[in-house]
Amino acid sequence: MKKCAGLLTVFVLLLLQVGGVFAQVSDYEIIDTYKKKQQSLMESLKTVQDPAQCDNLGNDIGRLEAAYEQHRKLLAEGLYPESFDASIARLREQLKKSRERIALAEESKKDKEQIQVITTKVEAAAQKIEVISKQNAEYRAAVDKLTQDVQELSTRIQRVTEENTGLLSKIKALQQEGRKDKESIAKLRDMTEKLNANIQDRNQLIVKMMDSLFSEYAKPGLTDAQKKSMFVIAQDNDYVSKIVGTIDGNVKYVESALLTPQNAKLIRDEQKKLAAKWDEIKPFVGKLYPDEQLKTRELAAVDSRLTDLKRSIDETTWKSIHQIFTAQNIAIVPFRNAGEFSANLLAYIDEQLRNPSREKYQTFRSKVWDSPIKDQWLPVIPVEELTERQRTDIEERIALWDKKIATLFWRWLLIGGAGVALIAIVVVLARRKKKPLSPAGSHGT
Amino acid sequence: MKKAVVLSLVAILALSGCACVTLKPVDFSWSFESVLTTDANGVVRGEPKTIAFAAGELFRAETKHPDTVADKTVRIIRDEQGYYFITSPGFRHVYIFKSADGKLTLKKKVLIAENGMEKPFFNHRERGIELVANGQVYLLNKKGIIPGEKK
Repeated sequence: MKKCAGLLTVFVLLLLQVGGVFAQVSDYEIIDTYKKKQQSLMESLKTVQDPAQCDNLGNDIGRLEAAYEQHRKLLAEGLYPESFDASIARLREQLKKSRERIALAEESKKDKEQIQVITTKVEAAAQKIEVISKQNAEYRAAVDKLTQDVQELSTRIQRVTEENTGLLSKIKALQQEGRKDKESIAKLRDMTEKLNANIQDRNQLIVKMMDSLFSEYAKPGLTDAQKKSMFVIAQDNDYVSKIVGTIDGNVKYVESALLTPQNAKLIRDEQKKLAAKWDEIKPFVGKLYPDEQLKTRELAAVDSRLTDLKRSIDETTWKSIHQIFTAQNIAIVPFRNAGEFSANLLAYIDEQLRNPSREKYQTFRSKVWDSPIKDQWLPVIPVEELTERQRTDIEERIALWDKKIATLFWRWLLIGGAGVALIAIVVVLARRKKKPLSPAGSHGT
Repeated sequence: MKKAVVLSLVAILALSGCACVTLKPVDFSWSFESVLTTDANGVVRGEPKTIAFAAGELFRAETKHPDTVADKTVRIIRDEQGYYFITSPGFRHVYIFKSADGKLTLKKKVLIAENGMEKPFFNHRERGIELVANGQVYLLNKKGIIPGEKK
């Protein structure tokens, strides 16, 4: 094996010594081959599209130069008027140009991609603008309608408010006259019903106005300009003032007279609706105001009015209930809330238990407690306000009073019966004494 | 200065007055051979301002079936003295011509291989024209193979 390798080495060395790798090769072929290789490389360099290929071709140039270096002189003849170095330099120059061309192409490609990206963005922006324009058109139409609706509602609210003011004045006047004829009573009832209806109507209108404005405002994607235009609508229609005015109207209505259970239920329900709606729209109303101070003042005004309304309703409700006791000459200490009502009523019953009166009990029971308190008023008062425990306590105490009255009744009945029996015995005995003795009786003795 | 002017005048007179001027030395050699292809008429044409000649006669002399002389390869090289060395694959000989008035005159016909040459080619070498054929290297001049130069 070693011998074989040695022989092979000697053979290769011999070949190289005789004429190198080009031994027995035509000079013409060397030149021709070089020309072809050079030309091929030149063509490849002209069409190369990739930086990595450029590197490979650069290596090929190096290899070509190294391989034909020994034929520099021959190639100078064969390539005349160009020299071997010049032909290699021309390849390198072409390589440089190709690299520049590829770099330029890549830059151009990047530019094209960037242009494409920008074009896509522009197209998307154009589409977005179109969508926004469409939305704006829809929004303008909605705002126009809203403006119209709000104005219409505002006018109606104003009209109902004025009507209510007139009704309240008339009701007060009638109450002050104190006329008890049928006609006056009927007139008062009609006006009160009309006023109730108006109160309800106005509250509904104001809630509708709140809804219409803020259902628009709550839409997503409103621009600052659109929000500003909504603020203008709200301001032009004196939006918050309308809410405040409505609540004030309700307060006046509540404070104007004592409430019936039906009226109390109505006004309480309306108050709850208004408060709930206000809680719902308050954040949006806040956003309407660019001026922080004005916002705080306006929101506080509504909050304060709603608190006033609730307090006023509560007070008038309990005042109206107390009036029922007073009307029946039941001397119960006045109360302004459920707690006081429960405590004062229990105190009154306790007092009655100590000195029970059948008449007072019957009046209390039939003309006050069973109706209208228990069957009409208590359903109006929510259990959160007058608790089940308080109601049970009152019922138990009344039952105790009832038991006491019953016991008292039977006692008196027994005493009465005994008295009657005694009188009857006395009368009988008296009659017997006055009656003369009959002869038959004397005969007998 | 005067001497230079006189010499110049003598040179001018000598050139214009004598008809048989000889310029030497001249090197007619080609650095490498030309490989030409015959056309339909058996004519080969080198690059412009080199040479063109009818080679059909050579093919007729060398080939048993000289019907066609078209599309044949002719290898040609010129030595320093201006002699043309011509051959072609399959030829048995190398033809050595001297150029004359519008013609090439055969100077020597050198037998290389009785059975013809495979892929012969010429190279210009300092000592003569190198012929490589059938794995053999020959060195030629106008007289033929230079003795002792066959390898």
